[in-house]
Amino acid sequence: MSDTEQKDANGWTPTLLKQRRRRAAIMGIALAIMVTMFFLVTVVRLSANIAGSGQ
Amino acid sequence: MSQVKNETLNQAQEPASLDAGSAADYIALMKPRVMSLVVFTGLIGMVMAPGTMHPVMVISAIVLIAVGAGASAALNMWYDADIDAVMSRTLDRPVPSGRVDGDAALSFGLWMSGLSVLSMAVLINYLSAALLAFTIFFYAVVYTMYLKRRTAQNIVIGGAAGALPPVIGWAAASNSVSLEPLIFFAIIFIWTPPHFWALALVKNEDYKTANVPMLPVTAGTAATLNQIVAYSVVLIGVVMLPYIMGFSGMLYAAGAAILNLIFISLAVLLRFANETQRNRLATMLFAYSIFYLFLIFTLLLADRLVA
Repeated sequence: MSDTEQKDANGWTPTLLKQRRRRAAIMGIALAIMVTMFFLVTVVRLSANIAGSGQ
Repeated sequence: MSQVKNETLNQAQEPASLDAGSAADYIALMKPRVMSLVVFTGLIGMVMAPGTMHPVMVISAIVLIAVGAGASAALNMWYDADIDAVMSRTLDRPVPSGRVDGDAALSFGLWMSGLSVLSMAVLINYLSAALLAFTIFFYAVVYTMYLKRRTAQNIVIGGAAGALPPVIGWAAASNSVSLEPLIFFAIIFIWTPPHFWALALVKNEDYKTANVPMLPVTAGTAATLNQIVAYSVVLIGVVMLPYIMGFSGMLYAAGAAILNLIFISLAVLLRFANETQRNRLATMLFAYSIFYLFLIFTLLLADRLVA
């Protein structure tokens, strides 16, 4: 980060803001993966239970 | 009153506290190269276990093992920032270089640890979650906070943390632990000392500067070389156990025998190398030991698939 960069009213420079946006995007992707994982495992378990109850 | 409040707000918004590191720094914090070996051995443990596992469950378990391994690495980097800062190999890590704040690394490690263990319990089973929690605790607390700075046996005992992933994988697939995953554990456990001591020989000055009691620092080069040979001899015996105990067939036995021959040859060559050749051979043994472990576990899997 360059010391000469212009800071906004809250002290954020364009580089820091860019870094924050990237971190937020990756956190969002990670959360989406986690939610998908929980959903898919639930579907797999439900399917197994339904298949098991028919026997 | 409001002036004081504004000053406090301004202090809280100092750019230094806003500079929390890039996404790449957080990935580096999770030691992705170490994680790849953890994921690989965990996957082999899962595939080798009895019974079938839905691919979604396999992927979920692998992701959670990887996150758990990354979390323990982040905790390790948080705690070791002071010694990492004086060692050339670790100087550029996110915390000692100042790219990630120590507190941020700690909370990242703690959150990831909790998330991985709880998700493992909910999505897979309690046994694998308990083993994952124990692995994180053993690496971050027992090894990093206690053993590493106190005893030359640090990586011998601490190696247990790195040896557990195939056991976690096995437990994730079968909800049990039997003799077979314990042999996988033993292979990695015995492999760890010669692997790390080869690196410690090359980076001896670094460890001396950081005051970390690695074996070459406390016992000297000659004693370390003897220990490397001794552990290599034990390793080649332990690696043959899957064949001796009937878990694996001739494909594994033949492949492992060749890999063992190269391993022990390198260890013996290193033992008798002169000072000018020592660092080159130690680097070779370190690099080969990584390749060796990957191939041993690949052979275990290949043999099972062929059978």
